[in-house]
Amino acid sequence: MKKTKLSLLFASFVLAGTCLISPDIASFAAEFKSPLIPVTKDFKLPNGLRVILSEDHSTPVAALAIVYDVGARNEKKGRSGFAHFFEHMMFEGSENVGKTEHFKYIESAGGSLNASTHPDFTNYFEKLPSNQIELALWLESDRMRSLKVTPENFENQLQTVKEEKRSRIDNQPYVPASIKMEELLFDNWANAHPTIGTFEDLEASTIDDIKSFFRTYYAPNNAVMAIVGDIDANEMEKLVRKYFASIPSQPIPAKPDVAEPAQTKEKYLKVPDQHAKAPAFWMSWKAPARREPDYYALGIIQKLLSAGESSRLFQRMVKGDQNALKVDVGYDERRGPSALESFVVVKPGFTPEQVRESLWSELEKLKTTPVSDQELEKAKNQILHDLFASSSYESLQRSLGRAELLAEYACFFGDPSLIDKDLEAYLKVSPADVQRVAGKIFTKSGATIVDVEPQGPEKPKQTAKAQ
Amino acid sequence: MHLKKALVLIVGLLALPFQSGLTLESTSPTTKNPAASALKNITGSEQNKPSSQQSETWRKKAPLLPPPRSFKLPAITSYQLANGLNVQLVEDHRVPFLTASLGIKAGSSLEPTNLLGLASMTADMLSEGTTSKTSKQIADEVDFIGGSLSEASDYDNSLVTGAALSKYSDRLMGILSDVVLHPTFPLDELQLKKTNLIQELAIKRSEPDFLLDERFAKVTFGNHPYSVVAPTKETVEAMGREDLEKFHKTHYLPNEAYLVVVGDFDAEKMKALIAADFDQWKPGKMPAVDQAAVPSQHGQRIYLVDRPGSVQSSIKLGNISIKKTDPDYFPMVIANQILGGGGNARLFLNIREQKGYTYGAYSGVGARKQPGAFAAEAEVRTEVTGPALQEFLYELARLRNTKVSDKELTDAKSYLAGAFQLGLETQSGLTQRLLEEKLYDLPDNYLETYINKLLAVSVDDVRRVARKHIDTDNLVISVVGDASKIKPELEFFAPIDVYDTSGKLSTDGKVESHAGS
Repeated sequence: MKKTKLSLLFASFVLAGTCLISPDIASFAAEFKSPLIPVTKDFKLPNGLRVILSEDHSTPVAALAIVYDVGARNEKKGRSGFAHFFEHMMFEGSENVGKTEHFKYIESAGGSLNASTHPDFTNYFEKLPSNQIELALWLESDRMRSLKVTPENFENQLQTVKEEKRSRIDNQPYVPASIKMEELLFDNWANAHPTIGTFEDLEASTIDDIKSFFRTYYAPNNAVMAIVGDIDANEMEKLVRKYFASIPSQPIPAKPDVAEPAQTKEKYLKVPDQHAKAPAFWMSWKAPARREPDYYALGIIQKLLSAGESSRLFQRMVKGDQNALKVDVGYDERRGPSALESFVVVKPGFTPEQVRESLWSELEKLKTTPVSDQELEKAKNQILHDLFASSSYESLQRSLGRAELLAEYACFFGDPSLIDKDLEAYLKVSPADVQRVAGKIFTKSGATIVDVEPQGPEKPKQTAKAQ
Repeated sequence: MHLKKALVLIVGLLALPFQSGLTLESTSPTTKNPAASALKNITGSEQNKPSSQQSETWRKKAPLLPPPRSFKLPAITSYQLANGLNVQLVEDHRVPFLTASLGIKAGSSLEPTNLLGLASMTADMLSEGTTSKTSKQIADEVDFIGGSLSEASDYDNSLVTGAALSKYSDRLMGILSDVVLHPTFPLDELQLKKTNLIQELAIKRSEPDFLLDERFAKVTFGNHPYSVVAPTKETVEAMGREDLEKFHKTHYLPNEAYLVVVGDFDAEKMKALIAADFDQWKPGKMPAVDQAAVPSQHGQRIYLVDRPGSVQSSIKLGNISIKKTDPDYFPMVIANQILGGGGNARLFLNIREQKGYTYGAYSGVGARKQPGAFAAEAEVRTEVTGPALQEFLYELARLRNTKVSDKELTDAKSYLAGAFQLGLETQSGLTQRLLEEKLYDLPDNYLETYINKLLAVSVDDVRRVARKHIDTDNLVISVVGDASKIKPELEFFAPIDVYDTSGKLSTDGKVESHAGS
């Protein structure tokens, strides 16, 4: 592997603490190459676009990721769904790229692409044979500078988003309930409202809303771009300047207020579900934001509870008590208030209350009994697996996984080297940390419970017969 | 680090890149909502064109890009153990992780016909218990080492793949060799898998895709092992523990196996581990199996599976074409890419984009150890079954009779070269490619020359191989749909045999309604 030089980061807010070498870091460095993702260049264009380049010539592949600092949490009340709607609009063509041509260009080159909208950010990415990476610069810069917001595109994408909501949310078992659960769990509308938004809001929008949303949030100074792989960083910097430097910056948008009050009383809701075959429930708690002190121990707890067949909840509820068909615990990690969500499909013959008792007893065990060193090490190894395995989405084996991590960390926290700090923090979690954080999070008064009640299969059956 | 992504709304594009295009055309952009009407007053180009940038005319065209770089394979340590096991090691220290995959030249082609599914079941049961570990202990060990373990089997080969954090290299190689060398095939775990598989097979039989593949393969390959797309309830029920033991003992031989390890390890230390774990593996002679010859198809014929009430017809047409080592492999892959390899290919552009008969139309070349099938397929609306078949036949003939354009050829090459490059990025991607080279007896420089071989293909090569390997005069055309509606239309194309969904030939060719199984 070619050695890459580490350049000093340009951004002003990242300098603190970078020269300290503590014994912990030394032992960490003994086990892992630090930095986990070597940064070759990190610079800001005069228009505010921050760019991070990482050379790796092992395979002739390069990936580009752009993170825009906009998500559902930036939306105004009465204008929900805008962030996700814009993700769709971004494929509708720009001054020099026709509608849907973005796909055709990338796919003809043998590459892949996608985009996703989250409560706290929106990202766009391309992976290409490295000789073709300039294509991604051309496409991304063209839509950043000249997206086509036409009435036709607006109307078409409104229909597409409606179809997406029908097929990916309304028609799926348990998914509408998960949205209700998040709406109930968070008290602040900025955190609580669904990313898919409300169609009434989209339909009621005016041309000014749309233009101003694009201008404000899709500005170069509201984005971070990372390019990783078989590139020449000096050449790439020139190309980046050529394609992006003339795009004007915009006033920096105000940060959303995402403050969330602590919960003092259990919340409960029953949701009917036409597509669910078995009853199920969500039981969730408010959780620390990414990089808050308790975030790492809670990440370990998530692994202990539900990662793999050897996990506690699988062994207790699916194998042992045999009262659940499926148990899953997820950490909806955000830059602000987050959520720890458990989802259980109840086995026929049991009530949700009975199954919740099994779950509570496992949560209590986390608080009262220290986790063994062996089990804690397993959980930490599973965290490492997510970071390093070929199969995992943000794997460091993939240039795209590395580009996304660099762009996210630079956008959210100002400093991509915090990727290493985070891994260190996970590996430092102690049995006492697990007990303490479990005690803090898993309270009855802090729980939000949503029971999903299947509405019987009669209806779909009749439709099928009618054909 | 994202341990788990929350509900993320992703534009579902890779699979349906042009779907929105179609939806868009059919949606009337009139006064459905106030915002759209308000927007109408402003044209797209006016509102968006940044005034400072209007002079940047160089942006009009996509950048001209250099040709694909040739692929340089990383250094590989290759050697053979005394028992014949072939080993390839590739050190890659970028991440503290390693991936190991063992390929064995034994797949479903070697199964007795009364025990279809035996090769898959044997592979699947490897990790359900060994002489020293239970199924649960194996799962615990794999979770602990931050790893994964999976088994799979196809017509020609079986694969066992494991991965782990590199500090547990020894434990990974230990568990991998344990499941391959010392499986016990516990009865209770076998029973559970058999029950689940039989349930899955019942569900599959209700799916038109399955019926289509089943009929096409049976007609094309006759009694040859490639004719089998799935086991039956009977062959699964007949499988006993001793059958798995016997298949394992007879076919899991080091002298017919290839081990590839890619990742963060020291090659010398890895050699020692492999010696310790795999030296005890006893070689043997793989028994030769008499395989039925493939039938030859005379003329075009339609094999229609009647699925009453079907609102769509599934069409699959083709013939036996090439094996993986065929010198025509690369031109044939390119010909297929131009014909039906994706959203920019002829079948898609014609049958979906122009005619709107279907959601997608594709073709493929199933090159295997022995010649596999070339086939083109689509699901179309019942009422356009005939017209869609006509377009398929037109596109096959066109590829055989007239030259493809230079642009089509170049696009196909850059797509295939790109996809190949992207696939080698991860440890598991490289591992699979290295194994493929060995398991299919491809030349040693296969991967390094892959891109150059693609680039060498000419317009004349494409027509030559299309004429040779796409046999439009003797095509198998299988169709699954409502025979009462589509048979009268299809009769103008070719003679028709009608089957029910259980696979039974209706002797008088009459359409009956059948309850299915």
